Amino acid sequence: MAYDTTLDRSLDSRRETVAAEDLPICLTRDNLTSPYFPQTSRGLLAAVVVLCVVYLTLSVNRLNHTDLWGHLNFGRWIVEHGSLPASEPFAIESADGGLVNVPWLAQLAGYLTFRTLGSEGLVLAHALLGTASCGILMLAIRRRQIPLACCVALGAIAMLLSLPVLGTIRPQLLGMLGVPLVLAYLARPPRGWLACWILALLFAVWANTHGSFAVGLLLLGLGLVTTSCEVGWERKSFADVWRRAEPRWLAAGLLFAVIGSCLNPLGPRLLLEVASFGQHAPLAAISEWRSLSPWSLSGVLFYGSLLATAIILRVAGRRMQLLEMVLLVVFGLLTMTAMRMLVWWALIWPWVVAPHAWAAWQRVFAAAPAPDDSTPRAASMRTLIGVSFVFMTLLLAPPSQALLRGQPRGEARVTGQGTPWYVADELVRRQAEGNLLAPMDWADYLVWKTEGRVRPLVYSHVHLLPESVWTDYQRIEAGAPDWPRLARAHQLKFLVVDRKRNTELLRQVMLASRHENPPVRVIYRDKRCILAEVL
Amino acid sequence: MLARISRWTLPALILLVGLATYRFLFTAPGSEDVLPPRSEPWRIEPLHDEPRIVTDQQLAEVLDRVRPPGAPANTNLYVHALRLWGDQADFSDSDRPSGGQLRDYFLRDEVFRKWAGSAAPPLFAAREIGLAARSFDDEAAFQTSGSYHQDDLLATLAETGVPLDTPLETRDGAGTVADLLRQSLRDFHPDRLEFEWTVISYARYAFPLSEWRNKYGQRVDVESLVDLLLAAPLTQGPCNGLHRMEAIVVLYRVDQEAGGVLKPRTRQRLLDQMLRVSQLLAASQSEQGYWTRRWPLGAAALTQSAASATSDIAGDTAIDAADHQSQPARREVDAAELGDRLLVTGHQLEWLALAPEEVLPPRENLVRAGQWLVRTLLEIDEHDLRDRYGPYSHAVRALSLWRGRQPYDAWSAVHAEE
Repeated sequence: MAYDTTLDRSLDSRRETVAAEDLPICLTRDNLTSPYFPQTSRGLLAAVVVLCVVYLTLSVNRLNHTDLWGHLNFGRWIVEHGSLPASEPFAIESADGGLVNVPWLAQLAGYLTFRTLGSEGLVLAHALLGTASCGILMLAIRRRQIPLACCVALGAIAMLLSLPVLGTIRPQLLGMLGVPLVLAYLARPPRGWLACWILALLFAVWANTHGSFAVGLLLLGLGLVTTSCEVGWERKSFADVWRRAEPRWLAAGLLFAVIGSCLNPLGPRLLLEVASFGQHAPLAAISEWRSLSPWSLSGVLFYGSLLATAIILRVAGRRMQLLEMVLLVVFGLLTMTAMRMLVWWALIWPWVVAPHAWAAWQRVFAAAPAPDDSTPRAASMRTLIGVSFVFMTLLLAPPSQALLRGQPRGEARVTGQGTPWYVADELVRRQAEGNLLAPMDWADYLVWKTEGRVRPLVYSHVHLLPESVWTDYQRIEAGAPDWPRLARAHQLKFLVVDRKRNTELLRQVMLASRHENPPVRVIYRDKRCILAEVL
Repeated sequence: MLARISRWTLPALILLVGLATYRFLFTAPGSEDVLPPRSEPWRIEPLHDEPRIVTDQQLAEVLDRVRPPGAPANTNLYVHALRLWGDQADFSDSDRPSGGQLRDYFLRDEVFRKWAGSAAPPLFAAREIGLAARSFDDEAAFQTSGSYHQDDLLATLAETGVPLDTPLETRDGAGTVADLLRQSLRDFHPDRLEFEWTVISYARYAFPLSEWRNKYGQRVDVESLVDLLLAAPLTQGPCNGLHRMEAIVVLYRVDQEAGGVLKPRTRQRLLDQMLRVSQLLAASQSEQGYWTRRWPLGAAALTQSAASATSDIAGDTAIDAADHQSQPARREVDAAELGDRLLVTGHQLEWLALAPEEVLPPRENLVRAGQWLVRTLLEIDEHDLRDRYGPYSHAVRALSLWRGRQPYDAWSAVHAEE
């Protein structure tokens, strides 16, 4: 049966006209737009949505039981003493040569956050820092004249790449703000003293929050060298390089950054200390300082990004700048040698490949129409959608929801599963005081919970330890036959023995505790560990 | 200028207003207190009266042997004595504490100090939101006056019928039994090795509370408690793991008393476990009537050597291995020493006395076990009795419950006739 749609369309059109006439004038006169209300482009809305997703993803992370608590211990110490520690304040013994505690400002900020908002505040700070890093990286890429949608996509990929290292809150997160800021600077180096002063300020803060300020200096240095080379190559004379403004301002920026970095308790010596940080022998036992395994998640992400680079460059057919090539080579090699460098690769790689990725996109999807942002009503509506999205994200994200409700979720739901909550509670209940041996990654938390009353043989700041202490720790942990002698030598009063990792020590301690004159007494047991008192 | 400011601030303002509205209109302050409205603990009466297991005369004789020990006080012995005799017992013997004195030993620091000595540290101390008992290993010099198992004192008060609002006078001030329960529920966590008495306390005092959050923010619910009870290896835990069977039967019976709150599947899981253990008991009983620590092996318990049997039972952890190498009781398990037999048989018969008919082993097994207990309890010497008062009191309580009576009622009935 034939059906005449002309009549329907005519009726619809009449209904629309009548409906529009029925709407109050205040709603229809300017299509919800107003000079007082912001409009939002599709790209910006996409950025808001992606940042909300990043925030939500990071906010379900728990506080890991690793060096976070060690840093908070330092923060608390600084607040309690009103000064910076001159020597290692927590461990039984520390290496000679005084304490080099680079991230004191981050430790202080972390502790003050905890004191104000509790553990939920730390989770919130973690999520906000990660989100801010992603946002700044999008801006840094945008400064390379890349469309916002592409920046948003690359920002999201950067977060994906850094997932293996982003899950832990630590001073490094503050460094993750610094690197994109430097990249934003390198994208279009501003000419003027203001930028230099801002760089000096950035590096002054950065150098007191994390050793990764060296990465920022490296980036600026590479920017200067490669730009100079390109200018020299272009002019066929390196003598004329300084006549061009760009290398001069880059050199000034680097100089100001170096000066800013020297504004720290150690002064210029900090640069040397940071450069030699990786030489500490015990660091070899920490997984993040080991070379990148291709079979790990980090390895898959890293090598996957290398493969993606090759494909993008081939499809884009665009010439690479010298700086881009150098950054890929230098940071690629650094990431292969130490897994923890992946986080810098994750930030630098999208910035480097952005113009090529956009070129490749244009080549493959040349016929795709440009997005139309001309409808003002839609643009205003997008602002409301964006605000609603942020609102819902804050309500859904566990830390912001807990803070909004004024009901913290509790330690076991905020901290990582491996956190030794129960034995820490037992140490607190017993008001334990004295030297303690615990698995390295537990010790920071135990010191934190006992407010420094127990002094660990080893905790996650292994670079502050003498090598002999590290060796003794490993022997005791392994339940070596001479563990009682070593325990006495270090005047250990408590042993926290992990049932899974220290099976031999567990057996030894349990047997020893049943002697007629036992050298140890088991005073607490749960499914995870035992706590023994050395008699 | 105004338009520019407005454009920059309006979205943030809208967001803030939205969040503030949510904060003040849609969130309610949560209460941490999980205590139930009822103050009286659930009472569980024995279900059976089987004179073949123990006659009236036999019961009177064995009860006479386990009257509460006198000074020096030992908290663990007094827990067992109070649990056995209840708080109404009166032996007209100044050397032995009465039921009321036993109860007050736990409820009043003044009485505690009278029996345990004035130097003894307090039995209870204030914690975050309530009171907690001093553990026996908290103070090496005063071990005997401390609590031997986590929440055993609270469970005993519950079994004795002490209401939650009963005053508890500590050295530092006054509280109530509810303060003990409040702290116990808050302290509970799933990694505990000893949770049997916590479950008993929860069942008798807090049921049908379906869930609560502990101090670590973890949600604890009755399903997770049942999982813990059923997941542990049969013999793991104090007294050959048999307090877990007691916790299972108490939870099951309390649920019945409360009108069936547990999910049918959960109730069935509890019944299945009781039935499983009963079947193992029927298969592993010795000719004389006792059970040994090897009972989980079933029929193999009667033939397999003790050493290999214990390794089969205990599992494979290093700690268990260390335990087996060093615990005197287990070293001697090959000889199935009398104390172990009595401990296992007494505890088994005790939970069975509260269990429903459908999960019980055949009557013949129960009668043999009961009669073996009677013979043994009448034969052991006084010194041994004092040393092993705890396990023996379980055995005597089991016999009494199998006559459908509370021990003091049975004892006083015979003595009243005299």
